[in-house]
Parts: sequence; C-alpha cells; structure tokens
Amino acid sequence: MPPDNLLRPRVVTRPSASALILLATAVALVAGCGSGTATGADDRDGVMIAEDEARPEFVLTDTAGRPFDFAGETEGYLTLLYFGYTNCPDVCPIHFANIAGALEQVPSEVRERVKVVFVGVDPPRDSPENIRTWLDHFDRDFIGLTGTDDALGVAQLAAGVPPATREEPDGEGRYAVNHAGWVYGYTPDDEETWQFPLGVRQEAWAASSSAWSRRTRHERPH
Amino acid sequence: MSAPIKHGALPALLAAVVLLVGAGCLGANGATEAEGSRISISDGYVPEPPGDVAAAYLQISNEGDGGDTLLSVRSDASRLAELHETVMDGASVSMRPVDALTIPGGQTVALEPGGFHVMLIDPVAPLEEGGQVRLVLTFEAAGEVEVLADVVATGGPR
Repeated sequence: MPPDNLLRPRVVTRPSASALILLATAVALVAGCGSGTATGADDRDGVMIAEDEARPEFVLTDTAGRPFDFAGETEGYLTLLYFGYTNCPDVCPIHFANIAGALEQVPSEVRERVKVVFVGVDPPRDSPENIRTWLDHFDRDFIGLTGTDDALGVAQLAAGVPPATREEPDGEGRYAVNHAGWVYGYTPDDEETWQFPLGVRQEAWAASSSAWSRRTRHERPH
Repeated sequence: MSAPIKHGALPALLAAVVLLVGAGCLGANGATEAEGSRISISDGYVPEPPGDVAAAYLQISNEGDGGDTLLSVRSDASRLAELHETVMDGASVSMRPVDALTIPGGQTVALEPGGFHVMLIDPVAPLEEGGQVRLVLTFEAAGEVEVLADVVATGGPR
C-alpha cells in the first residue's frame, strides 16, 4: 500500500486483516506475553492496553437460563468480552465474525484456553434464545449473557464500559442501542486488559501483532 | 444490429437484452449507472446476518460536476430498508438514521463497515451467502439507481 494511504482519515480494515490480528493477538495473549506497551500501535488506530481495567466481577444469566459468574467462570482464560445487542447490524457482527474467524485458525490448545462472552444489553429483544441463535451463527461455544437493565448496568459499570442506552422508539417501536463499541480482552494471568476498537489500520495491526509475537517468544515470563 | 429480426424473435431478443443489462449489475465489480445521471453504484455486498437485521455496503460515485443527494433506499429483500450511520465516539458506538446523504460532484462516498450502511430490517427470506439483494437507491437528481449486492460470508469479504 502506498505511503500516502497511511494518512487517509478513513480506512476500511478488511475483516480478514482484523481476523489475522485477533488470531495473532490471541496466540500472543494465551502464550502469556509479558507486560508492556503495544509497540507499533497508537491509541488512534491500534489495539490498546487499558489502564486500571481488571477482569470485572458480575453475575448475569447465560443462554441456558443459568446464573453466570463472569470472573469465576472465565478465570485463567484469555477472555474476550463484548457488550452488544442482537439487532445490531454493523459493528457487532463484524467484531464477532473477526473473532470467530481468528479462533478457527488457532491450534486447539490455544482455542480451548479462550472464552468469548457476548453480553446482550437490550433485554426486550436480547432474549436468551435470540442471543443463542445470534451467537450460533459464529461459534456454538461462544457464551451469551443477559439480564435485567439493573444487572446489566452493574456489569457494565464493573467492566468500565460506557453504559448502553436505548434510543427513543420510532413509530413501529424499533430503536437503536448505544453501547460499548470495543471488545475487551483479559489475559489469562489477569496482568493486562486489551481494547479492540473497530477500524484498526491494517499496518498498525500487523506491526503490533508482529511485535507481540516476538515478545512472546523472547520475553516470555518464567 | 443489421440483421432483420423476425416478429416472433423480438420478445426473446428483448429478454436477452434485459438479461444482459441485468448481468451488468452482477458481481463485486459490477456498476450501474442511471441514464442521464452521473451516479454509479458499485461493490455492493451484504454480509450474511446472524439475526433479523442485515447491513448492505456499497460505493456511490458521482462523476458529474454537481452534487447529488441520496434520499432513500428500498429493497424487495426486506420489509424495510433504511440508511443509517454508525457513529463511534471513543469507546461508545451508536447508530443514527440518515435522512439524506450528499454525494459531492467528482467524489465517491463509501457505505462501509463502521460508517454508513443500508440497514435491512426483517428480511423476507433468509439472506444466505451466495444470494443477491436488489437495492433501489433514490437520488434527488439521478432518480432511481439500482444495484445488486452479493450476500457474502458473515462479517464481510474474506
């Protein structure tokens, strides 16, 4: 890609590129890469390390109707957490297609150390059944959670994400939901939290993942 | 076309022409241009949706000198089709309806992931990879411009 393209204000990241980065990142995270900043990425268009965001503690209801203690159930796993809604046409399915695509490519020993959790923040439409159907489109092992508005509020506060709000319904009763747009990743050792925005530049993804991969090999703790 | 056409062959010929014109709209690189306008639409695609809503993405080019305005979108593939914009503000994402989208002369406006998209609400039949969705975009100056968007794998082109 010619250098002038790097300066374009709006850059479309092909899902395949994002998937590759998520894949590389997942491998790096599961392998237990050490602390440090994401070399090659910046806070404008790269995957970011979140400050002061630990794996949150909250309890919601899973798609089988059982209580799900997030911190307890995901402890020790590379955990990807996203707050979205099933009537979301654009950002949510792109994120989840990328995650699913990445996880299809990792070795099984990596895959089994990853838990992916989708929280439906639109209870009137995000029934456990609807969430299950939505997630099964990507991966049947993805975990779906929802709850009352109050319980969801607690969960979003714990995770440090912007709380979801519902727009005023139109004449048909349809509405959009404002919600957190980033996927949050918690390392198995809980040393770092990563934020995955949409629209990360391909060059930044490649630089970051490459740096992380090297660091994983040469600077692995122990 | 210099060869004389038999009377009975005319409908068949017309059908062939219609097919050929239609075929011109197909595929990721296909483009449709409305007669008498400078608007063309290309690269239309719809990721297979995981739920009851889908997004259609495409490129709108205005090769004319003057601007034009996209006023509405409709599709026979879903009960409703609306133009929306995803707005990202820091860690938050929201979606707002777009009443009109200006396409300045000489420019291309992309409906792309994380930005503008056509939201297809309640598909009348499952939108499955390999299928196609017909979209009709109504512009202030160019009038109606049609495009066939390919249904691709969830998440978009791989």
